[in-house]
Amino acid sequence: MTIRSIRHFGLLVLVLLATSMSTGCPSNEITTDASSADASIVDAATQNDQLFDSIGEAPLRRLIERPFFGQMPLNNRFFDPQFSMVTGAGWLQICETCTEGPIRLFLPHTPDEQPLLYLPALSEEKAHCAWGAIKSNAESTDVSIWLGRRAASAQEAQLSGVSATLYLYFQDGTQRAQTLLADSAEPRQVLEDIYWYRVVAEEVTGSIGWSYLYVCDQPAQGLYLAAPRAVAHQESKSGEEDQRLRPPPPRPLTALERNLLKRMEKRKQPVLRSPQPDPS
Amino acid sequence: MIRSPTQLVRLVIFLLVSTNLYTSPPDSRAATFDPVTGRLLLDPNGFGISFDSLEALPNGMTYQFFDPKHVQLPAADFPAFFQSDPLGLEGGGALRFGGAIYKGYILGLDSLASRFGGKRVEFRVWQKMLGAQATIGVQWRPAGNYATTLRFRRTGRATDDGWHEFSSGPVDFLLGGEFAPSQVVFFDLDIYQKRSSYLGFESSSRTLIDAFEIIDLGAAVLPQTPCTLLSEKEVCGPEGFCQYGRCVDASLVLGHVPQDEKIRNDYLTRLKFDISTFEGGRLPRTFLDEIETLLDTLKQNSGAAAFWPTIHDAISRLRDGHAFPPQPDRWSAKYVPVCLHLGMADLLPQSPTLPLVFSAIAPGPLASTLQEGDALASIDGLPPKDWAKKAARLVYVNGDPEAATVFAAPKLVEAALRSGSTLVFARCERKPDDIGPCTAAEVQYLTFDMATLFGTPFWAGEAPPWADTRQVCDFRFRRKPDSPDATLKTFAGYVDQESIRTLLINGTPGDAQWLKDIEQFLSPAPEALLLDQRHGLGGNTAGMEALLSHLTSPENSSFEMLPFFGDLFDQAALLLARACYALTKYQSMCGGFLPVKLEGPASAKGIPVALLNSYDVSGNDFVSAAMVQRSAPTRIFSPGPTMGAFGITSSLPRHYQGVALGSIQIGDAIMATEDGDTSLGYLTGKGVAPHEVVLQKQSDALLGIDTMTLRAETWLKEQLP
Repeated sequence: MTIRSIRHFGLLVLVLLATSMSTGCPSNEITTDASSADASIVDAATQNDQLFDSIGEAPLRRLIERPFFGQMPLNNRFFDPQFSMVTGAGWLQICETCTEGPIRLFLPHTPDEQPLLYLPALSEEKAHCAWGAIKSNAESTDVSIWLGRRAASAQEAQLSGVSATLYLYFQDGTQRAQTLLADSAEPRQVLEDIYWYRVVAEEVTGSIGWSYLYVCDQPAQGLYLAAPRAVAHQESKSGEEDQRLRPPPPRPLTALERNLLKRMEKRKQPVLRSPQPDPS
Repeated sequence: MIRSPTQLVRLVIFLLVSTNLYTSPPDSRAATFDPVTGRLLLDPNGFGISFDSLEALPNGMTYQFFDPKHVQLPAADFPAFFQSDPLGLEGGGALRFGGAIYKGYILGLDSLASRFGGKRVEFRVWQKMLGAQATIGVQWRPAGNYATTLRFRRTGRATDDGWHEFSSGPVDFLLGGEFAPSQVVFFDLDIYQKRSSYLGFESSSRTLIDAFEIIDLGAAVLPQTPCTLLSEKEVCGPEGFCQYGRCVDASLVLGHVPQDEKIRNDYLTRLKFDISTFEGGRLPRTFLDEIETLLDTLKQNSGAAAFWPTIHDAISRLRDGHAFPPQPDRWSAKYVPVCLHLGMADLLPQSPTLPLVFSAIAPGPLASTLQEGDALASIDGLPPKDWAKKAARLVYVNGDPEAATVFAAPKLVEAALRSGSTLVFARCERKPDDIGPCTAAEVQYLTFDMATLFGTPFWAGEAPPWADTRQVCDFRFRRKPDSPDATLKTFAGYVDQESIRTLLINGTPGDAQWLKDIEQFLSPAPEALLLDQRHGLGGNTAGMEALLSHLTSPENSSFEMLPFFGDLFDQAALLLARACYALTKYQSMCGGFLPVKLEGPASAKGIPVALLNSYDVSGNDFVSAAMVQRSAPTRIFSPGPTMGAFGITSSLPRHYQGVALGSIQIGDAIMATEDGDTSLGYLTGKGVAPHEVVLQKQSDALLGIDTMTLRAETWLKEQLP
């Protein structure tokens, strides 16, 4: 069985690293604690296997229902939560040395049962980044995404060098950044040999217009993105909320982050044309 | 089959556990899945392909495979494409496809005509994605000529180890009661999409394909009775459209319709969310409730003929000139090589406004018979504008509804071809000494029954080749300059005649050569300018700025583009957004706010300008709006308003893997004023009206005269000293 979940893992540590001057990767690196790697508990499917194993051969597979959008909330404010438009509209790759784009992958088991976007590893310590567009609405919103590494062990699958940052615009005319942190309430998952970690910024409030999630892997070791979500804030029902690390409030953009946005925008040109063949 | 008490216990436990963990599969077709073994069982009485090996293909069928460069792969490689797996979903193996094996066919499906002819069927197949995802469908190619592909979609049935079931939905096996599908087609979706995006691809990515089935659903449901567009609901029923005069499945014309209720509802819910969240036009947003109500009718109506046309209708009601519905599949395009545009039939009694023949130069029965100036008097016995309303599924219009008649006119003949309708043209022959219009008795009527001219040979397997020739129609009766390239979007050219420079453009594309041409053509400024943008397809802000910076002054031709910032966004917030942009110079740092301030030489701001409009969208909408604000003599001549598409556009996400993505305008625009006064209002949804409504006259057409150009030149001469 390839599906394993880890229900609890230790305290997640936020490490704020100094930003590299040589690349475009912003500051806040996500750090996960590998000490919990073996503290997994089997999931329900594995339990079923064991149940069947105790009485004989289990069925090879079971029939289930898979909704059209998997587990994705239908009110997800990401413009392109399925990575179908890596064109600058939904997502855009930012990479100095890339000759090929990121790769969309479809795998049997993924967070939210949705397609993945893979930012391949790069040589020369370069950064490989992607940004995705979100339509803000001033209400309190939880923004999250699953980030994964394919690795032989949890130790190798740490998100070292990975950062995820929201760029927000507010009604008062200011731009601010908010770092996504590893989600202590959501278990790490291992799906198809990819170690997945959910990062989240909860209760993002007051931003308007278009916001952007910027995910950066530096040095690029090969990073998977899945299940981006931006949905109305949900209060935790489990009482775990108090134990979560609270993200810091949005902060002004650094000069480096401003440069990143400029680079991103230079790859886009506002389109003022009929997107379909002309009427004749 | 349960063979032992142990198996019975396992089954009971499985049912209990699975009831707890998963919701039920969406329909009763689970009977083909053995819950005890976890294996799929093809119906022994049905038709199936197991993909166990290359040899497992039924007699009369063959494979073809292609690499991403469309090079056919050698047959010697084929055995390796089949993965042996005794514990696979079905049988002993599966086809391992995708990545470097980009495209594949199973040829010879038409060998099943004797078995499934006259039947309603459903095609099903299973897929387990191991990186790649294959789009799988069935193609109909009457007499070897491509007609359509019906692509399969997820049914919602899946297995917990990653297999998904895909289905065509119900469809009559024989297209139009005549033609069996010729082949199954597979292609790697993301390699296909790579062409239009920055996506890379992994050549080693694969997907497993297994258990192809054709399920007999009973007798075919579509009648083989002649139909027209007006009779199709009655004759073809809730599943059919009238195509070339015969009933065919609606899903073969516009694409697969989700059969499962939950999948259909989820798709509609997300589509509504996309529209209500990302639509930026303020006027379009006032129609969101109406659109939601309309789309909700589809939750209960599973008829294929209603599904995509209702979505088309809903998106059309936005009045967003950038909005197009998603299109999951597309019937092969056929053309009537004749250009018609709205004109004034002043040689007919009562001088009606009708589509006139602007050109008919290519082959075919219409082109060889029709002459410039002939008027389209009726379609299926209705006035063209009334028929167009009933043909909404064939004649999609968006933007300002006041402009719809002009925009729809050139689409009518091809819509009539597709539905097999009857066109009647009215001709008034005039000799040099004839005076005035024709009397009713003098009018000649020319009738073209498209079901006979095209439908009959098509359904006989002899589609006429004239319908493969597309004539580019550009809303102009005559062109100055009359260059062979004059209909290209990137074209810019001019001719000088006396003191008037006529500059012809087809958009504001903004590419380097176009920008250079505009600079060269407008600086130094001519004495007077006739700007012919009758085929105004838009472009980008750079093109728009380049043109307007010569013709207008910054104070009366700057725009500000804004996404929907929410209901609380006000004048103060606009001033703050301006301050943000002034500080940062980047749209993405200011929530999407983008001012377009013209700071060019304004070299031609003082000269008289006549603007010729007809079909003008987006960048050319902006040009028109700015020209209205000029202080120098300016006059717009047009058959109607512009589209009213003022804003940045974007494709919609490809939720349904369509051949054409939907699109939407993700912002709106206002004219910029110094104090941030928004009282002028948001522009989207209301086109720029002409100062003078001018239609091509039938009488001028017979003389080879472009009425609009003539009128504009006359006005310009009046402005010159």
